[in-house]
Amino acid sequence: MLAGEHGEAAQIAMEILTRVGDIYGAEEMIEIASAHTVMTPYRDIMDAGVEICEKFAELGAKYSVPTTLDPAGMDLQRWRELKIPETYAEKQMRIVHAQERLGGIPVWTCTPYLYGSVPMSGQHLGWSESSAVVFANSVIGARTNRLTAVVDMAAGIAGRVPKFGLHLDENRQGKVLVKINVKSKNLTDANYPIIGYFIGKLVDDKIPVLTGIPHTVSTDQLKNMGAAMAASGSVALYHIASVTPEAKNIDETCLKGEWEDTVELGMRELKQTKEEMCTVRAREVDFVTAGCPHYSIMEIKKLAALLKGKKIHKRIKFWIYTTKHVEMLAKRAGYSSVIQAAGAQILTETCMLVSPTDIYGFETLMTDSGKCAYYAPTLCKTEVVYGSIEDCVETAIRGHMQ
Amino acid sequence: MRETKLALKGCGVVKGIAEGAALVSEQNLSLWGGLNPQTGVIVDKRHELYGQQVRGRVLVFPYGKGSTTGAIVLLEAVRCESAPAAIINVRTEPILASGALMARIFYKKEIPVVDRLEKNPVKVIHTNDYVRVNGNEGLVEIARKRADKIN
Repeated sequence: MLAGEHGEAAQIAMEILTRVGDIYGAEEMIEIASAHTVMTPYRDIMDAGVEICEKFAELGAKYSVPTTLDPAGMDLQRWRELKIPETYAEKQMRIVHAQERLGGIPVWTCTPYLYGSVPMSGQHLGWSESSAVVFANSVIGARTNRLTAVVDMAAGIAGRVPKFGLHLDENRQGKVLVKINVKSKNLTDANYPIIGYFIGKLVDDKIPVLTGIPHTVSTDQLKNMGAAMAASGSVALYHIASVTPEAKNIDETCLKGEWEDTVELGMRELKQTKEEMCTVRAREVDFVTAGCPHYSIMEIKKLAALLKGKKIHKRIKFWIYTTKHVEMLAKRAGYSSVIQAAGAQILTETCMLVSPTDIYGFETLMTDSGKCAYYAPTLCKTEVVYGSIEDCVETAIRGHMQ
Repeated sequence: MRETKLALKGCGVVKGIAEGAALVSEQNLSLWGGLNPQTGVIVDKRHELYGQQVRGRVLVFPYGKGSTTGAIVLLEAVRCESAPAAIINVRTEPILASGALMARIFYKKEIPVVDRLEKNPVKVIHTNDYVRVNGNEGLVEIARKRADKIN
């Protein structure tokens, strides 16, 4: 393929992958089951990103394996209503069209593992999007490194990646033991992103092994914990003893083994970390937002129950980000009408971090997402308050923090 | 004033040959959020190079900090003709290296990257030293138009 018998696009893709492999010391390529690309929001990938997507499309490139697309840089239907500048929208649509020509699967989501491309345990993948990478590796037991922009497109086109890092057994072993000493009644939805945030800061890119998480933990709790871990640190894989697929057989004897570090996480650490996740104390909030990673139908259901019959303060914008699939289900189940009646809005195919939310001049953002709390000061240019979705709703109704 | 010269051997991470005035920092640098790719100015207020222009410079710092969209920042800087001429690290972070190698593929621009030099580059190279970076051979040549000698 490197010699160019599959056309110039495939040749470029293989050249990128080969050179990346050289840098990491990979000895060979490995075929992948799917790819996922972050070459989607104009806000992040800029004009160079538009040009590169179009260059691949003009060369007639096609993704040779299922390749899902990360969120776009705006709600692709409602951008005018949301006052996205025309010049920005035009660039975003060029990316959309180029990705369509390449044959990208237009899920426009950071949760392709829920909708669009569900990997199997042990499969090799070529994914970017840190929150999806950590989910695929940890919860599913698939194998992918954290690819970077453009390299992820090359992986989708070539259908292979250089074999290094998390593709190899020896690099998937846990290094840091994190003992979670929190009673299961306190392991609420809101505490999982805090646990993730704490661990990411602690281990950076090392692989943590968690104990004290019950096997009844939900997919959404793991989704939100992993996303926070991959934001505050560079975690691409974690294990939960007796829960996640590669740690099913970890028992007491294994846990006594050699660790680079052993850390305990209790209620005190949760409280401290939650404070660290907020840049301000009690203050007026003007933007309440959820859906980072994209909200699932279960999370929308819970939110609709909290908002039923309530009215959000007129000064506050409450935006929830999700996929087209979930939006459709939420309409059918009647959750959308409850959420809209309360004055909140469901936006799709984008999120608060990759769309230009800074154009609205929000001052203080409140969220139930650990990942959003980590990035919002830089990306949304706001102060940040982290809270449970219950607290988010209460604040949105009252118009300020208690 | 006389010119002193020093050559250091290291590893060529990304191929190419380029030269320019050095811009040196002892702090790690993330281009994503750290560099405005359109202007070539370092915009991370917490960084000691805040406000400095990287265009055409040989950028010397210990390690890069990766992020999934990091490579595109360097590509956008190349597109805007605001990119550094070359990069020297103690150890190069692979996402940064991916950005540099793709600059040649998409924009025909060589940004050689060299790391693992026999001496610590952030100590040996001073800002405004004239530096030639050979990514093909992993070689760095430093010329300093000053009286003090290079250690």
